[in-house]
Amino acid sequence: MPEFVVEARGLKKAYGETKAVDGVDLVVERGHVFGALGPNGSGKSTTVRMLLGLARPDAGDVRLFGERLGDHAPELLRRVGAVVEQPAFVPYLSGRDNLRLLERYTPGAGEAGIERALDRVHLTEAAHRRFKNYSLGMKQRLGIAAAILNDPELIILDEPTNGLDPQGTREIRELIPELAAEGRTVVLCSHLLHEVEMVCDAVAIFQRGRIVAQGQTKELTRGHTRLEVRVPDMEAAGAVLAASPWAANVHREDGSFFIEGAIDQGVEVNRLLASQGYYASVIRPVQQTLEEAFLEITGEVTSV
Amino acid sequence: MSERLREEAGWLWDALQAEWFKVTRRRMTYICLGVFSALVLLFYVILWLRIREGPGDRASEFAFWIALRGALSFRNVVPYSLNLERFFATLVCVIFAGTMMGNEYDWRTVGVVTSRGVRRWHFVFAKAVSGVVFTVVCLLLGFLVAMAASAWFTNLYGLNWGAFDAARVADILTGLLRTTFVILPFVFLSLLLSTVWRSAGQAVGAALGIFFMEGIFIALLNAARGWISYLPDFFFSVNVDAVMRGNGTFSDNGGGPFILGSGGPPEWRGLLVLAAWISLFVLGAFWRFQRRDIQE
Repeated sequence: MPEFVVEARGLKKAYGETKAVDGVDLVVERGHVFGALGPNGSGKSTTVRMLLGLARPDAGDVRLFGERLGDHAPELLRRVGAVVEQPAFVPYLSGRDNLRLLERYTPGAGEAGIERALDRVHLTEAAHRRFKNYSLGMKQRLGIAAAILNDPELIILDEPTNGLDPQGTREIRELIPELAAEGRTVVLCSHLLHEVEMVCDAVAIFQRGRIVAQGQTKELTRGHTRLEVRVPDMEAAGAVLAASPWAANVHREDGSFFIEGAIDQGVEVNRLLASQGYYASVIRPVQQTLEEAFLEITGEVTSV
Repeated sequence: MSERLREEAGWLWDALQAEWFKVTRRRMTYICLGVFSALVLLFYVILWLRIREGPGDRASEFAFWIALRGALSFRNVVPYSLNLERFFATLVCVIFAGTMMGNEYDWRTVGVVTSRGVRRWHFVFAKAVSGVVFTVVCLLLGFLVAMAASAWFTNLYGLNWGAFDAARVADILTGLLRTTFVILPFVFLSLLLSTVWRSAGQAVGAALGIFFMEGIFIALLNAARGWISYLPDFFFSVNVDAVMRGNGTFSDNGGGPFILGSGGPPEWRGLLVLAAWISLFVLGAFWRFQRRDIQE
């Protein structure tokens, strides 16, 4: 039986007439890197705020580490590290002093832990500078340092690569699997599909306050695989395929045929074409990307 | 003490330490204290300049001059300087308390702290304690400045130094306590408003607005008849004056800025009404912070 670090059942939250979250059921297994994916305003951040006790659900229940958040919020939240939306710190304090401040609120890491966290996000050299003088990327790094400061079991990162340069983005993407390898569970909220696909092994897709798909990343994309076939004489080969058992699933796109659901039937397709004198130059299974799966599930293109 | 209580007390202590860490590194803290001390000193200097001009020719002017000179003497340093301080300290402490809480919303750091498992009431408790401690520090500092100015003035004009005994020390301590107490309703009002509006600017503006505008409403209501005319009895300034008179009324004829006259409600009633306001504001701030979403 899998151990759920996060369990949210029937979560609802409305702001006036606007339903920010409308019946979200979410489970995150221990040790997973879980991606909450969706366009801006789809309910990800509101859900995260409810997971962290910053917003009270209108309905539904949140459990962290198997216990109800409402009953044990402080005890449970001390096992969580999070960055919600933009990292927020005291502007007149240095990066190091901001971590010292958080360490005073929830002691445990000590000076050594603070230096370790700073080092891990490559912020040691700039740690003496005031937070208000930090670039957006440095603020993000400090946010992550704060999230990992107290050696949490669960780390929730909301758009952690916002404002980071490509190098910084890569470092964070490398850091997330490292954190998971240490036995932590990571929840990554992002609207960047390729980011989620690269680092997350499980995904929930948010749309208009609901989760429209949830599961292992591989499962979500596996259902959307197809066979690409390229033949020099496309017209004649098209006629052969149109008369084949896969006829209903064949469509032509950018100089290739794509046969839906025939990912493991490359040999049969090749044999059929060859028997008619057409020799394929390319036959290969094409795994749909998470982006394609997302667009197919949500039907949304513009905001992602 | 049970393990649970010990843990809870430890967490509360952590919240207080964190607040101390913030407040002592905040430039605003030192600006407020510096401005306050300067205002107290400036006021003593202005009054000294007035006294240097002499009493004037008319009898009423002479009485005013005598009262003013007496107010600045070391003998009256407790009632006079504390009443003077009370005014300026209220301004400074309202700004301190409002920004202390409101800035946490403006910077969104309140969410960072509470999402790390800090109990909400611990967070507000630490703020409330900081507000009280700052008020005491502010008054002590101002009192030291006033004592120095008054000593110099007393020496210059050969005025009455008053007694130097245990009773005097007790007077000073109770005077500081009284003055702290009458400032706290405004401090906690500022704390409550910054919690309600999640903003420093609005809270400080509204609290100072009430502080300055109250006198106008009291004058209007005093002119009314029936039950409405009793409403000012529950306003701040009437009860603040009632408590501050306990520090010593030293002029029955008026006689200059910050010199209290006699009359008004008894001290115990002033204490009671202000205690009720303090309780209301503190409970309101705690309740609002506890019940409401930190971020929307």
